[in-house]
Amino acid sequence: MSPTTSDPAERTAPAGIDPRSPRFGAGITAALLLVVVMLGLAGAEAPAFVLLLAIALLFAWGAFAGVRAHPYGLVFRALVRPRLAAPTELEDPRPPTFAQLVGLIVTGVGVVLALVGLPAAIVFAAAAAFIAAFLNSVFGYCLGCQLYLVGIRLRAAA
Amino acid sequence: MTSLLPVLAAALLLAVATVLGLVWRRGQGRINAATGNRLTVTAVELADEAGLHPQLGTEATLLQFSTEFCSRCPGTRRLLSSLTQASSDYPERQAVAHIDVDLTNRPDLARRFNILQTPTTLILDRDGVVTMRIGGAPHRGDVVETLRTILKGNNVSYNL
Repeated sequence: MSPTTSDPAERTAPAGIDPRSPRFGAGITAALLLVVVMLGLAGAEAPAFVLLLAIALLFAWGAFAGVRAHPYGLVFRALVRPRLAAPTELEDPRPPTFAQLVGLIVTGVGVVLALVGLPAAIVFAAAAAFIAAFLNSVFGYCLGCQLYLVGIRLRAAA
Repeated sequence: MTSLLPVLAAALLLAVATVLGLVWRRGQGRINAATGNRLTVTAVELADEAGLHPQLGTEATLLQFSTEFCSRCPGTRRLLSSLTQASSDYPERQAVAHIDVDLTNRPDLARRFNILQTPTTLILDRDGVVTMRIGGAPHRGDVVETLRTILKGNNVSYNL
């Protein structure tokens, strides 16, 4: 009578992914976001904007096509995973997919604000997204998971 | 001086993110004795929409709070369910039970138990009183030690 086997979330969970794959991708994203911050502060606004836009589009790809279809996931499977031991456990792809959506919103706000004449937003959005991507990649912290719970609590309060 | 600003800002960002990460990691899986108001969990309040509710363990219960968007919940689920014990006294009951609650449909429980991260695990005694609280993925040794203390206090023995 284990209650875990009757958990509907478990039954409908999609096939797992290697948990190191999203962290690998977050590492690339964090490095690129740091470049955006430096470009923005160096006064190279146009390149900073283009790079942030590219990062936002990559987040959109992950959020809407799923992390499994993300280019960094393909790179991970082709080049990195063959050099690593098999993963000790697989991870539900929904949390990292949700994290892509969070990344899209943060970087997307930066892009939109820059377009309406607030170029400083590029650096702020890139810095905020960098912290989340860095924590995810290096420490395994899942901001999307935390925000989802906050959302549940806010919905209850409303 | 202006040419140094981007590099300094990048270094500062890296440092801030690293400190945040270290602080967060230190708190992960930490086990704390329940403080403040004595909270008692009843099986009935854990009932699903159909009104079916799980049964608490006759000696202790590992109450896990999860959501679908939680990278460490499945691993925690496996760890805690491996620590359950069938009751030697009551057929069809468990001495140590594991109950996993998805907070998506139970925001009331998230508020009542002040759940700020998933997974969060509460260890309940035989009366459903919250004795320990673990935020983040628990360490097996902490859970086993707490269960042993509870079982010893109940004067029962199980091989954990």
